[in-house]
Amino acid sequence: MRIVPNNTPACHGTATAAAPADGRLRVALVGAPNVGKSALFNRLTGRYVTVSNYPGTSVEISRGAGELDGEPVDVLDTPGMYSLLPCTEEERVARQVLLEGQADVLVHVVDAKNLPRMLPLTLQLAETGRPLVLALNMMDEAARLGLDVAVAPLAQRLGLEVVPIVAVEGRGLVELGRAVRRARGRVPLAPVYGDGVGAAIHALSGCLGGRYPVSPAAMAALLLQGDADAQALARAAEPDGGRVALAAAAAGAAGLGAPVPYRVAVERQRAADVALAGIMTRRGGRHAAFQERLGRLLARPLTGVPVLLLVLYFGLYKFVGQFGAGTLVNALEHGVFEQHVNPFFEHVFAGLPWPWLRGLFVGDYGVLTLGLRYAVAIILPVVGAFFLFFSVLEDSGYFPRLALLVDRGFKRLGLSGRAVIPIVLGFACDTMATMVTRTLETRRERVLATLLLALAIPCSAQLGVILALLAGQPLALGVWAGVVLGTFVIVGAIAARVVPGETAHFHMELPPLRRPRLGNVLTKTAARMQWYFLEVLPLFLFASVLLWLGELTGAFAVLVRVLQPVVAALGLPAETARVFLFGFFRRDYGVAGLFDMSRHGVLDAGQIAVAAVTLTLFVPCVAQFLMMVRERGWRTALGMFAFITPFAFGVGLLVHVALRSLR
Amino acid sequence: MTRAAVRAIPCGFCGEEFLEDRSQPACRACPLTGLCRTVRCPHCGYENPLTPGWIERLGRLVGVA
Repeated sequence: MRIVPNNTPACHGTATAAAPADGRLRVALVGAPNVGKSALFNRLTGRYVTVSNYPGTSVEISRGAGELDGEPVDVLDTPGMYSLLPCTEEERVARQVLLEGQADVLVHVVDAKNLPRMLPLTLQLAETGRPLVLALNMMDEAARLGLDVAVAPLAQRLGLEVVPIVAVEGRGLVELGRAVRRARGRVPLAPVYGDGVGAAIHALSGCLGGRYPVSPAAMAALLLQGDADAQALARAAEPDGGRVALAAAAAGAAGLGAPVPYRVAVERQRAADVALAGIMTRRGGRHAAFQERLGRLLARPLTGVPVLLLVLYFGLYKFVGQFGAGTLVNALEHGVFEQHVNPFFEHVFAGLPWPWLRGLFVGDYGVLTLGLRYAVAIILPVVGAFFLFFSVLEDSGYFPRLALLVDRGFKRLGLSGRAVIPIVLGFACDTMATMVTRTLETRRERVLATLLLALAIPCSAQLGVILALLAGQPLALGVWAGVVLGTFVIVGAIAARVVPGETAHFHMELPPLRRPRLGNVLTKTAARMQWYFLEVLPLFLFASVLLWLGELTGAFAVLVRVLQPVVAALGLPAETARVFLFGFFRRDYGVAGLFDMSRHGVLDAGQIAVAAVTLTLFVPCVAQFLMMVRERGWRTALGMFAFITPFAFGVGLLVHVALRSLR
Repeated sequence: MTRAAVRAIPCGFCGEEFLEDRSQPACRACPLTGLCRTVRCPHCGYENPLTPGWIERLGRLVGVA
């Protein structure tokens, strides 16, 4: 790679925002997500930070005052970015901060372990002509992986200050401060690219006569790639309204052949690879190499899918379904509630002279014998086992690999690998997951993910109890899993064709695969169980009160009578209508009712399969529906509700008919 | 808006560290009871659980936090 002085002739000029009146050095931390920018920001700033939305966006920017090498500085933490050519709102804001010249020195924070993937952005930042320091973060992790980085030769090749740091421990910050002071006012060397890209950038730079916030080379690179913001800048800055520059950019792009962003990215990566030749060496590191290889295998379909099936079998079926919903629920319900708790409450309230009031506390719909028992004896052990399993996967770094694994399949459903986040969270709580769909890139993806969550993703309690119900019935379990998965795929694929909009793209830096830490796993499990219990207990008690009131006034019987023809068509006993009513209030409450019926031998295997399928696909609970309204609006939420309700019963009917014909 | 600096939390999904209180706007939008005590990673949107106060106190008591 050749590196030359940044071409910033006087006639071109580089506009910078005025320095603050107090003359404090302004430092902006930039870099990709996952590189420890926030950790460095926290280390550099004091007890107070200022957080504000970037104008016109929901993207937050943090500022704080700190000290570097004894000098007071203002530090700005920018959103994560992969490139100066933005894909997301966060990247657009990060670039805007750079273009507005809000910093005297840029500190590009990179993950030292992934230097080859991060260096192209360093080259882009150097190209802008702004004073720049390269901070190689996570040097401790790199060392653990057996990676050595030759810092001084790299600094010499790039013509930049390069500093190794460990932000979470505050190591290397004194050297970083010195490097920032040395870099102040110094224009970094610009990379030169080959394969026609360098020549095209050089030619277009010569056509730019206006005053820009970045160097002409950086402007030329953006114009060649068709960046709309750069085109607007050129129209405003060039004396002829940008006519010549934009025509030259179009001609240059045509000469390079489409797609130009790809051509530029390839050349930039090649330049980065040349700069890194011989800089990174690996010693020993057999363990690290194994972890890396394992991480890659988990994300590849051929090896990743069998591993996923094993994880689901042992984690969900054996641990959550059989152990959590079987062994633990048995122990709590029979050993504690039926033997001690319920008889105790029956005894306490036996003295109440009014049977109608006694029914509020004990009996079929009593808040203590039904609500409390459902919450503590059935749901809590199930969600506890689920959250333990979930926390182990989370702490191991498996989820991002799952996102990469399903990315290709999800694209056929109009989703990207990023949608794994709400889908995975949906298995914990669909309401929370519906809120998280707002982080998806396009409106189309948000609508599709919301629909699939409401339709085909059972929440933790529902999943655990259904697995327990079907544990001894492999055929019924296969029917349930096949129908729910089939619904997810078929409805997703059809909806992706019906719902208009752009296809989402997905890319992310993979954090390292790691052995789950017991403390982390137990803490996260306890935190989630505490939340679930505090939320679910009052709702379950409230549901019991409603049911008691409904029973007392006869309203409940009317509703059950309305639903009875539907459940009869599904081949289910009349009492199942009660379960569906419970299910609309809370999915887990409904499924606990189903569990209760099954335990009393009211349902056979086929009926359990039909009821489980219908209840899984059935309308979302009240909280999730409210969240759908909030996130997608009344029209979309009601539309989904109107589709899901008959669809769930229709699929249940099909399963019932199919199973009956097989008998 | 100036406020006290808060803890940096490593995201359970993407591994990026973020400031604890950046999830506040998401919490205000949630119709649940507000007891979940999760913080949303500003980089990937994943909901991370916060350590409950009683666990922190317990950790301090036994000298592991």
